[in-house]
Amino acid sequence: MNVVALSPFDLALAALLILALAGLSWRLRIGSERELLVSAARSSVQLVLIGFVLKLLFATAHPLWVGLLAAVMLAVAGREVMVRQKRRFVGGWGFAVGTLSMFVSSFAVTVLALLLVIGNDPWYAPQYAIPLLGMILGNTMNGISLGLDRLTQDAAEKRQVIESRLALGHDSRRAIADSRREAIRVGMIPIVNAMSAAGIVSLPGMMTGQILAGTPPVEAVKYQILVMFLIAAGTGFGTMVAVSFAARRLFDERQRLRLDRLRQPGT
Amino acid sequence: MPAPVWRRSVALLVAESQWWSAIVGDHFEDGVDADWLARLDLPAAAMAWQVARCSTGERQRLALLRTLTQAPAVLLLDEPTGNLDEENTLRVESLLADYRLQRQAALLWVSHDKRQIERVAQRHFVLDHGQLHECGRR
Repeated sequence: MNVVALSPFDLALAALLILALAGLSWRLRIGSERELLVSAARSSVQLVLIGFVLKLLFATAHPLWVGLLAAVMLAVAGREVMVRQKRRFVGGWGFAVGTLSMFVSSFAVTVLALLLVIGNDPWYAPQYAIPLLGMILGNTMNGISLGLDRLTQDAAEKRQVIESRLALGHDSRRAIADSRREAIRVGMIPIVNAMSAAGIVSLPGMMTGQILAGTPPVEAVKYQILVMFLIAAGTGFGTMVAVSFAARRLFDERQRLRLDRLRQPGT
Repeated sequence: MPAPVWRRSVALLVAESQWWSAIVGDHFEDGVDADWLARLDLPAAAMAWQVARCSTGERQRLALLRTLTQAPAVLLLDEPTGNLDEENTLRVESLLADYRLQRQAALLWVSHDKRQIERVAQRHFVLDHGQLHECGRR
């Protein structure tokens, strides 16, 4: 079965919906028409560009180019994690905490899946590697953002309790253990929800895409289950690494709580 | 010396006590001497109390015991009787005096109460505009 190719006219029809929505927003003075149009235009441009990049990449399939694209994706995800933090670490750590954790978890999980589960030849074949990494990275990014945000917020709020525990001779790991546990739990909520609701509330995007492209549903389901597990592993391990790393960084070598290493919100 | 070990032996007790668990007993891992509880007019059942339902004075006395159970050699006390009535203030002073003698401990005691200073202090300093002056020695 072949995919029904979309003509520019088909896309223009869908774009009309966005225009209509923007028009209504303008008419009702909701004020989000500008944002809506800009983000719609942005996503079209970004997607067209990545379409061409992938086309080139699939044609050459050189490991260097695959690695370069993966590095760009990681850097952008790292920046996203950083800017979403209300109280991020000052200096290079703000970027490094999230980025390193995503690198460790997402890349490890993706490479593991490519080598052991999918077993394509070559293993870095971009048709598999890039979409898989993208899905895992995107979800890990959310988990890490949520987890780090919760940890730093919590540490700032419970400053006096944490300092009391330090004064009572608790080591820093123990003094921040409650906040750390809570932050990891919060980071994993979205993926746990997604797994619980999959197939009943929502048909996950990747599976929908494969079915639209003509893959038999049961094959698509198998891939979706694989991807779900990979995403859960990537998000879970990534959040644990990021939150633990950050929890360490909140204390210095004399085990003092160093909230001055965080940027104050609104500065 | 690792910081946690140091802080166990040179213990800081702040005026406003902090609690991380809902039940008082969770903060006393090694339990607490029933005699100490009695001397501060607290029942043995206090370990099962909910922190949120304790008065400020009860929390302050419990926080003192929490620090003492770690057997510190030096106590840095910031207004340790700030929220207590006269009777309980005297109880705390007497417990601390015995602790100091039994354990040969050193106490650095910050207080605004002149009569308390007369009762407990061996040496007495006043902090005035950032300058420390010695006012008395016994």
